[in-house]
Amino acid sequence: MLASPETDAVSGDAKTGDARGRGPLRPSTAVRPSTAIRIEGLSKTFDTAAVLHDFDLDVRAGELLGLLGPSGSGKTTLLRIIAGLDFPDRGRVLFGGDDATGLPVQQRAVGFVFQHYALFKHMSVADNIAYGLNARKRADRPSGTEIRRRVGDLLDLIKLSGFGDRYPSQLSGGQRQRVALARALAVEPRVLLLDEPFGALDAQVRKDLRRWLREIHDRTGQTTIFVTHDQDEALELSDRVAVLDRGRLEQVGTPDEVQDSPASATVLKFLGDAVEVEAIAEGGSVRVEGHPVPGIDVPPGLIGPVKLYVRPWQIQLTEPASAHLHGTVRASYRSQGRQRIEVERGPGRPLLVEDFDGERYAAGRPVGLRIVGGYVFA
Amino acid sequence: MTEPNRPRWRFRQPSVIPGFGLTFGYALTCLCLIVLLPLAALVWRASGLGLSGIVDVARDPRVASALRLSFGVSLAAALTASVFGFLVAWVLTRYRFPGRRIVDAAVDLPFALPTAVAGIALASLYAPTGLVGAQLARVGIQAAYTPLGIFIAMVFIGLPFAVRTVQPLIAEIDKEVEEASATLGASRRATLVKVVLPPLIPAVLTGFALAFARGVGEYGSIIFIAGNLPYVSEIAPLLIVIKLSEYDYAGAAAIATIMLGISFLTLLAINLIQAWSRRRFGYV
Repeated sequence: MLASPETDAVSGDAKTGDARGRGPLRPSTAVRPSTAIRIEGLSKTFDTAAVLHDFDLDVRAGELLGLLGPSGSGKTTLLRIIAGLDFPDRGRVLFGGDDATGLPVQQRAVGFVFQHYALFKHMSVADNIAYGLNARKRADRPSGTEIRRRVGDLLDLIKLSGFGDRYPSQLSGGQRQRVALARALAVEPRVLLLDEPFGALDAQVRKDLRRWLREIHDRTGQTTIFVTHDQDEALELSDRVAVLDRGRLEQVGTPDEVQDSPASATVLKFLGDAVEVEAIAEGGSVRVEGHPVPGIDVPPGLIGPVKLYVRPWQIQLTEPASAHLHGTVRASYRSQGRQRIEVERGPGRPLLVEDFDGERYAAGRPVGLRIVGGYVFA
Repeated sequence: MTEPNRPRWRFRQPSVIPGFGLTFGYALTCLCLIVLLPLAALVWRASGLGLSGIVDVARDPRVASALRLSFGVSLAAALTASVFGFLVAWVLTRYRFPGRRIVDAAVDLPFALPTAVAGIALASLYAPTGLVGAQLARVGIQAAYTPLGIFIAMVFIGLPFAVRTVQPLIAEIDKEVEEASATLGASRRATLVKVVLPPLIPAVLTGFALAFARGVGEYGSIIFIAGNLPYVSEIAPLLIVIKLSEYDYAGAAAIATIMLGISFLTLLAINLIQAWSRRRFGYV
């Protein structure tokens, strides 16, 4: 059976302990990754549409895992199944080796943060945060002074000391989401689940909260899973990223791994701009319009016409003579320190978007394009 | 502090909508003509007796007992209608079952039915020979022609108010708030009591006030089931009609004025509680 909430609360005590500044429980390096949550063969169908197909995933203790995917990829459903708010048709959810699939949400000891905060409007901020502790059975409930002390600590943690008596309607969106996080942390959950936590906030607040969440995570070592459709958010925040598409796990790995060696074209396209170029694979190398392209990992046995996916920065503008492709500049502009040049490869051909340091190119100028990297998939 | 001369409250708020004076005056005039004028006429009529005359009317044992009955049973009935109305609204909003729309429409029937029809139907149902009355008589309960009958009729006519005022709020309850409560370890019951119900209290109070007001003023559907025995099951509105048939217009107006006063105070109190609970629950 599962560890009882009480034993969990004991280990949780240590966690909030370090949140108060006794030093990190989990040094972010030297820890042997143990599995906190294992998802085995999970399938879920809503009405007739399948949202998860035979899904497997391991979540390591203390990691910050990002579930990244387009809308409809099943990421929120997966999170809700882990929380016990939805139930799978097939498969199991294991918490630390114990089967939790049938366990009701109240006994799972998860902290869940909703996109739209879901704060209790009729309760003050302090009452919201204390809610989970007050909801415990009398025997497990901390004393009133202990609850007040913990609420005070959490208000410090979310930098809202002195806001305890306010009501949610008196707070900004970012403040509300921080209260929602404190409320979830108050029960010392075994895992913190965040469903698009920054989705309803504007860009600047979102960036600040992202950094702040990372800090909190580094200090508390709380196992955390968050759902997002924003690849920048996932790549910036996560220890590991799980990329989902149409109910399947496409790839899971560190942000560097998924960016450097995407497992599929879906992952590659979802993680950033990419250009598709027709190419021919033969003998372990790739040719575009007859010219070999260097630095491409070709899957063994792949021969014949393939699609070569090229990042904008893997293309250089060059003299037409030594180019793989040719086109004319359609527009050129600078953004975030880079020159972006849109090149048209002829009528009906796709536009290439380049990132390039250097000069501005006049529209209509003929250019050659040299490909210096890219990805092919079997 | 920076603008010490700025008034804290201004009668007219800056607005993009023009014609404040016209619309405000128009609204007040309508309110006066439709609501206050008839009430003023009533008080005017009663004032012919003088304050001591009104007090005398109120002291009359038959009048006093009718007033007690009317207000007491109305309160009890409004309370009952609020509880059951809440349950009906909850089931109609939260559950999906065949025939839901039909039941939903049927809730309003007490509004639409001529009150006399409702009264006769209830009377024949609860009379000792009636379908329900016979069963009740077996266990020694007589519903018709007693205050219990009045109570039943008042619940019947008050129920739609209780249902319709809370229904939209129940429909608006954010499912995520309930889920948040559950993830924090709260049982289903704790979630209901601490999270779901408190925001609904103002609406429940509104329904209660409306059902109470309707019960106090109700005439048609009650007199058939009440039996109208003086001192036992005679409601104040009936007493007014009796006074009228005796050409005692001032006496009728006096009873009406007393009812008006008590009703107004009760509704004012409910409104104040409501305003307080709105503030308390953070809907500023």
